[in-house]
Amino acid sequence: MRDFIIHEPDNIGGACSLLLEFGTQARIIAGGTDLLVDLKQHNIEISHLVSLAKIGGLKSITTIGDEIRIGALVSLNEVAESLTVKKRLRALCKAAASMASKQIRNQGTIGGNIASAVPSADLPPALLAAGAHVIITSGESERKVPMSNFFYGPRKTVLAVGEILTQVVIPSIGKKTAIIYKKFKLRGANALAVASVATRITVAGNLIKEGRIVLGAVAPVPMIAELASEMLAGQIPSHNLFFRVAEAAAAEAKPISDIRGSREYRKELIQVLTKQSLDEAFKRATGGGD
Amino acid sequence: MGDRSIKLIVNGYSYNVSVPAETTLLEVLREELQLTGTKFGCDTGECGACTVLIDGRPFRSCMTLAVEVEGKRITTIEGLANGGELHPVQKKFVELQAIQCGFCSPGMILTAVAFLGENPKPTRQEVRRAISGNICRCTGYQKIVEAVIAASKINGGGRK
Repeated sequence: MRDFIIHEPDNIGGACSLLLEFGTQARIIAGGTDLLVDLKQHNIEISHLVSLAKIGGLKSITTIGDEIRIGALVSLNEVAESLTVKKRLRALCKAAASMASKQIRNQGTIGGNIASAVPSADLPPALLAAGAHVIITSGESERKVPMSNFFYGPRKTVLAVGEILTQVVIPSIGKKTAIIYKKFKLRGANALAVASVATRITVAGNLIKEGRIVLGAVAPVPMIAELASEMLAGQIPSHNLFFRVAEAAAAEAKPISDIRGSREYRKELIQVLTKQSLDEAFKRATGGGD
Repeated sequence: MGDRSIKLIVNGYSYNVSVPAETTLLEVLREELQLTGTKFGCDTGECGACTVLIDGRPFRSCMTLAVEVEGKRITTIEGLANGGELHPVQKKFVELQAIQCGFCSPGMILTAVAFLGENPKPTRQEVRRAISGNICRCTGYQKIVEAVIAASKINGGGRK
């Protein structure tokens, strides 16, 4: 690593000021599990790091009514093991538990997994399916950005220079609704998603009231498969419907070929994972199984 | 850009070191404190050879800046034995020959110790999952799993 200065402000305003002052020469360090690799491999050359470690209020999971607020510095293991999150959005716990290794999950943070904006990241699809938003602060003011508007491209987000993602807010999920996260990876552990799907279904009587299908690792950003999602609204659930929706989701995916899988293979995976997640989500939304 | 003075608590001892900000915990342990039991493997957070316990939980020391763990309780493989007596997990690794080249052993043992602290009576499947972040290229893992299971049957197997 080239040499840098590490700043450890004890309040968020101070951190924002440092980021503004040093601009492109500065990066935020939270868990550091992505950043240190980039620094060691000289993918990023900066001379200032702004650590969030000494800032209070970013490390807790709280609830306000049915809404869950997760601080940006909450570790991936803390998300995976949180009873509060498990009770309301188990798919997020499963996504967090599926990542990397125990050691990395102790270190990596939810804020980092979102703000790094890696296309294969595991938490964003489940959060998009849940309709979550993030709180971003500039030190002087705060803004609320839905997860669906947060990403621009690989490693590109709406965060401006001097801004910090501080909280992830998950709204009340509601009754008769289930969210399922499915991920395909090349090994049982220490593996990124080759493709992933987060599916949300709400049922009303014998019908599907609405659904949302979010695809991961098959586009520059985690994407909502809009056409496939719309096909679910007001329909009678059936094997045939879920199969057609899965086909539509695969058609909407825009994957690339890379070391983990080809474009064609990823499209196949999306179809399979979407179908599986629809079956499971429907079963859970109607009160069966888990 | 100038060194930083930091105080580290390693295996119960307090150390003052002066290092550049970009120094990892792994580099401080091996090069400043001469605690070379912690191994330098992939240097990208994949292999687990550099695993140490920070406040009792396993971390990758190659992915941790030393300045970020100031004041935290760090345990390395050198700190596990109690006086002259090996930790139960160490004993079982030796007894059951869960070691070939030995390079992964310090990280593997520390991961197992932290795991047994959380889950004192694990199944073999749980052990396999727990050590999945520590790569061994010699043993095929079978004897490692057996050693962790054997250690779990000794009182104090999860002592840190």
